[in-house]
Amino acid sequence: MVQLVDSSNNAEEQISAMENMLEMTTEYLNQTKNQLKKEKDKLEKIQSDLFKSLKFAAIIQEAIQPSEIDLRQKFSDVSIYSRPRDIIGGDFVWHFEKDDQTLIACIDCTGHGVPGAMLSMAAYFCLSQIAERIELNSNEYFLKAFNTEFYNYLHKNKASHEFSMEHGFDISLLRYDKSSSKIFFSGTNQQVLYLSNRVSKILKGDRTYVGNKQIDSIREIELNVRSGDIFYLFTDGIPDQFGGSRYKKIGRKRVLQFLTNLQNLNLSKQQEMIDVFLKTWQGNREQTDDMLLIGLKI
Amino acid sequence: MNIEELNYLEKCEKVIEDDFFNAYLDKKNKAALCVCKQSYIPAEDFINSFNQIADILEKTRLESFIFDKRALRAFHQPTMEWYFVEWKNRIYNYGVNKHYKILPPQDWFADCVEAGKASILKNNPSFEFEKFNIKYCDSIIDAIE
Repeated sequence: MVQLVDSSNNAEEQISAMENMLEMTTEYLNQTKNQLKKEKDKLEKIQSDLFKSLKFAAIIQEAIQPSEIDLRQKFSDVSIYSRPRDIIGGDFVWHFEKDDQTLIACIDCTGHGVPGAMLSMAAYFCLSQIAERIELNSNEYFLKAFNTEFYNYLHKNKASHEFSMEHGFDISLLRYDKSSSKIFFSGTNQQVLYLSNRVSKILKGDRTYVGNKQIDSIREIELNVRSGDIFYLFTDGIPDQFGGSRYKKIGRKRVLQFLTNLQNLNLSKQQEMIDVFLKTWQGNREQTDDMLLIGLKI
Repeated sequence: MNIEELNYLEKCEKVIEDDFFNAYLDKKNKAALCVCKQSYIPAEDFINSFNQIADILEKTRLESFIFDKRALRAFHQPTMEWYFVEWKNRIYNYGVNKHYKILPPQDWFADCVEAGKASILKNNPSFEFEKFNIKYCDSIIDAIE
C-alpha cells in the first residue's frame, strides 16, 4: 500500500516537486504539441503538393490518349470508363490509324500509381513509333516488334540492373480492317467480350506477357463484323475489385454477364450503369487496382 | 504488486529496507531490484539509498537494475537528474547497463517522465542516453524475463 510522507519538511518538498513536475510537463507537452503541429503542417503541404502534381500528371496522361469523340469518327459508338486507383495509373487506351487499318488497344502496365503511369507513357510512345514504322497486317508481328522496341527502350542503360520488368503488359489489341469489315483480335492475359446479333462470344488472349526479353507466339482471332457489333475490352482491375457482401472479387464471369445484360442500352448509358455497379460492389473499401473498360460499337 | 512478484521477491536477497525503498539482489539473474514504497521520496533519502545500492553493486557482478516506481506519484527533478547523469554512470562502471523500469499505470506520470528526460537532455546535452539499455516493463516478472 502506498504510504504518505507525513513530515512537514518532506511535504513541503513534495509539493514543490509536484509543482515543478506540473510546470515542466506542461511546458514539455506544449512544445511537443507545437512540434506536432509544425510536422502536421509540413505533411499537409507535402500531401497537397503531391496531390496537385498527380492531378497535373493525370491531365498529361489523359491528353495523350484518344478521347471518345476521336474514336467516334471510326466507330458508331464508343465509351471509355477509366478509373486509376491513385489518380494516375498504368491502364491506358491506345489508338492508331494507318491506311485502312484502325488499331485500338486496352493496356494494363505492371503496377499502378506513378510507376504504372511512367511505364504507360513509355509504352504509348513505343506503340506509336512501331505502328508508324511497320506494316499493320499482323497483330503478332506488331506486338513482337513493340516488345523488342519497348525492351530496348527501357534497357538503354546497360550498367543499371535496378530495373527489371517482372511481367510487362496485359493487352487486348483490336485491328479493324474497314475495307474487309474484319476485326483481328490478339491479347495477352485479357479477355474481350464480343456481342453480335445478341450472341455473346468471349475472345481469350494468350497466357503470355508483352514487355519481356522473350515473347511467346501470339494468336490472332479473325472476325467478320457488321454494323451494331459491340466489343468490350477491359483490364483486370475491374474483375479483381474486392467487395460485395462477402468481400470477394467481382470475377470475370460476373463482369461479362453484367455487360451482356446491358447490350440494348447505348454505350454512354452503359457506362453510367457500369460505374454504379462497380462503386456499389466496392462500397467503402479501397479500389484494388486501376480500372479501364472500353466499349466499341461497329 | 501481485502474488507472483511477491513470491519472486521472497526468493531474492534483501539488502536494503528503509522507509522509502526495499532493495534486493537476484544473483542468479544478475539483477538488482529497487522497489519504491512511498508516493514521494525526498531528495536526501533518495540519494542516500541509491548511494548505498551503488556501494553494493560495486562489490557484486550484476548486469541489470530493475526500478519499480509504481508507488511513486511525484519525483524531485534535480534528484532524477542526479540519478540519471551521475548514479547511472557510476553503476555503468560496475558493469550494470541494463535498466528496467516499471512506472505507475497513470498516463500523466509517463508524460512527466518524458518531460523529465527532455529536461535532463537539455541540461546535459552530452549525456549518452543510448549508452544505457533502458526498457519499460509492466511488472517485476516481465523485467526479469
